[in-house]
Amino acid sequence: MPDPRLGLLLALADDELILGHRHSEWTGWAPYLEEDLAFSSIGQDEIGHARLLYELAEPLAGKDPDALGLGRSPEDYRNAILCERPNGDWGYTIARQWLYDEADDVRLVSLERSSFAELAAAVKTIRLEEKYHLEHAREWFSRLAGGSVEARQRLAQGLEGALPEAMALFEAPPDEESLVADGVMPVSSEAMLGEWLGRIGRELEENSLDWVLSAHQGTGGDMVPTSSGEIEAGPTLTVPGVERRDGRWVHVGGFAGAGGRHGKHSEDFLPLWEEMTGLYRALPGATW
Amino acid sequence: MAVWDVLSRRRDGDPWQVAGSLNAPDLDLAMLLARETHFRHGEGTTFALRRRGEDEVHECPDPEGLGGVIDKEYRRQTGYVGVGAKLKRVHAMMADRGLVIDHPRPRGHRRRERAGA
Repeated sequence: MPDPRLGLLLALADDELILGHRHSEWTGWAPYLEEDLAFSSIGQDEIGHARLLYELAEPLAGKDPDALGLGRSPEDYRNAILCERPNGDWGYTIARQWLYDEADDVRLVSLERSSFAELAAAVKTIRLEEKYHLEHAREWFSRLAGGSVEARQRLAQGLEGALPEAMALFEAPPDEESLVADGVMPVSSEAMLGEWLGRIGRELEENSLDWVLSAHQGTGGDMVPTSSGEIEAGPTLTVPGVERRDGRWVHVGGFAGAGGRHGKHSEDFLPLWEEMTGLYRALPGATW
Repeated sequence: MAVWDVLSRRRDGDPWQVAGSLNAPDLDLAMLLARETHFRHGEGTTFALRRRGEDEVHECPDPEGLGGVIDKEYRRQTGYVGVGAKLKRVHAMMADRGLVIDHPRPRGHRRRERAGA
C-alpha cells in the first residue's frame, strides 16, 4: 500500500502544475500587456511550486520530479477537475482563480502546521508567493464584481460554472483518515471545505453575488472519468450542497463517488496532458 | 487607465531610479502589476510608484520576496543562456523522430486569431 503522503503531495502538486499550465495559455492573450506578464508569472510560480512538491514526493514515489510532472499516465494525475478546465473568458478565469486561491490559502495555512516537517517548510516558502496570487485574484474579483454590467455578468457566469468543481478541491485524498491521525493533515478536507465556504460566502454576500451559492444544488457538474484515453459517460463525483445557516454558508451532505483525487478526470484533461507531456514522451530522459 | 512611473532601488540605500512605467486603473492593481512587470528577475530590493503628472510617491509596503522566493532559474536572464542553440537541438532531435513542433500556441487561440484576421 503506497504511503498516503504521496497521494496528498500529488494532489497539491498536480493542482499547481495543471492550473499553471492553463495560466500559461494566457501568455500573449490576457486583456492587456501588464496583466499578460503578471498572469504568465503567476503560472510560472505555480509550476515552480509543483516542482518543489514533486521533489518531496520523489523518495516516496521512486520517480524524479520530471517523471512525476510529465511522465505519468492521465489516470495517475490527482489534480481537481477545476484546474484542467479550459480558460474560457476572463470572467471564468478570474472566478476560478479566486475560488482556487482562496481554497489554496485555506489548505496551505493548515499545512504549515503539518507533522510532515519537509512539507510544512515547503508550504511556508510557497505561501510567500501565494500571498500575491491571492491579492491578485481578490483585486480582479472586486473589479469585475463592481465593474460594468457585462463584467459582473461574466464573473457571475464564471462563478456559477466553477463553484461545484471548486468544492471538489476538498475531495479527500486516499486514506485521509491516517493522514489526519498522524498530523500530516492538521485539518480534515471537510473542515477546510467549511472554512472556505464561510470565507467565500461572506465575500459573495458583500458583493450581492451570493445567489450563485443559492443556485448550487450539489450536483457535482458533468465530471466524467478519463481512463487510458477513453471517455465514459456519467458523473462519478457528487459534491455537497450548500445552504445559509446561522448567518454563514455551510455545506450539506458529503462527497460521493470519486473525482480528481482518485484519478478521474474530465474530457478536457487528455488534450492538455497530450500537449503538456508531448516533448517528454517523445524524448524521455532528455536533458535541457 | 492611468500611467504609473515605476521607481526602484537596486540595493538597500540606493536612491530611487526610474525603472519604467505601466498602465493600471488604480494604485492597488499598479502595486501588484509592478511586482511582476519590473521586478520578476530581482531587479531591485524595493520599488515605489508615482502616478504620471503627480508628485506623491507610493512606496511598496511589502517588498520582501521581490523576484520570487523559489529556485526558478527561468526567472533569471542567466536561465536563458544558449536557449536558441538548445531549441535548434531539440528541433533536430524531434525531426530525427519524424516529429515537428507546430503548436507554439493553443489551438483555440489560433482559431480566434484567424477569425479576427
